[in-house]
Amino acid sequence: MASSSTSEQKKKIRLKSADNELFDVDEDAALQSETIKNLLQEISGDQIVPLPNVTSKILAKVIEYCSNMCELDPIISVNKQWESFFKNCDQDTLFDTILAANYLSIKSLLDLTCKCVADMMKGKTPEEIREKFHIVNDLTSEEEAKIRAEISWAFE
Amino acid sequence: PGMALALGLLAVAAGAGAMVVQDQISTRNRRRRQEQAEKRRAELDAGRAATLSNEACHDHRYRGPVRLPRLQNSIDIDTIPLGLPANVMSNIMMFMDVSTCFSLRSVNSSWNRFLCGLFRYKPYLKQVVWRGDFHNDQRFRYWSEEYNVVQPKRLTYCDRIAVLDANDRLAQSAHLYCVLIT
Repeated sequence: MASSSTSEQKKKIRLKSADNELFDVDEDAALQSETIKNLLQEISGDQIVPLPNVTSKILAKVIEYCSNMCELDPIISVNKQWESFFKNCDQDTLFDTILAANYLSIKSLLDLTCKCVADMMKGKTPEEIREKFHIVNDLTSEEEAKIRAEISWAFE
Repeated sequence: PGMALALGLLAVAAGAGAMVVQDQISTRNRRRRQEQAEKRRAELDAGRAATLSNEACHDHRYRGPVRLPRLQNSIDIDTIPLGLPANVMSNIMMFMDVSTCFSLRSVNSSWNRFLCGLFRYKPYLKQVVWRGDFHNDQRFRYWSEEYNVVQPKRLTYCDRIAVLDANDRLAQSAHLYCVLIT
């Protein structure tokens, strides 16, 4: 009885991804996003919330994260699981998740994913970072030498 | 004599009335001064909490990344590193210490421009100076050892932080500020 009344109380919100896929999400999980919260105030409750900047693949992950954060306890262990997931996933997924978290205004997810990128950069030389993130070095050797001279104190 | 008495009474009444009004004014002024003093005291307390106290220094080690307000185009950059918005990029940088951020300047020209902009962004300066985050695992230690405030091997990390008094920390914060803005 108690469980049926709990499930009745859980309101679902329908989200639409950029590729027109629909997701039914618990209200608690969806409301972790400030963007969705604001959109729900503008539209009536039963309408679909369009999220044109998030693909279905990424939205599914974001919903999974938000649901986990709502359901599981303690949050620290959940965060660790997700941290290891983001550290092992491909860069495209990680960056797309960062952009989605930024668009949806989910602070905890944005912090978590940003921390993963920061951890990927920590202890690496600029050359290693260029290699890891496929960045082209457009600095001339003179410019690079000048910058290195300016930041020499950072390596002391 | 009746008239004189009446005038005298009137004068006394007027005097008493004036005294009552004066008393009301001075009470109101006193209350206003008290309110202003309380407000000032609260502001001072808040200010004191925002400056570097010993307790706050201990807490630094357990803090998360520094928090920045949204950049709102404060950093003038056309190409954004890693294809991320400047706000997100600055959020990533908040998880790194100052020296690592500086070393990333030589990745390429857009990173150099972005990071130079970030180092000159006042809220960032304020936050890192406040946190004293020079090298990630060496918050304050760098300065405490450089200034020969403590003998590093004999004291624990907490001791080293605690031993710096407010003036030392202020001087060192000023030093970091100068390093960052030049």
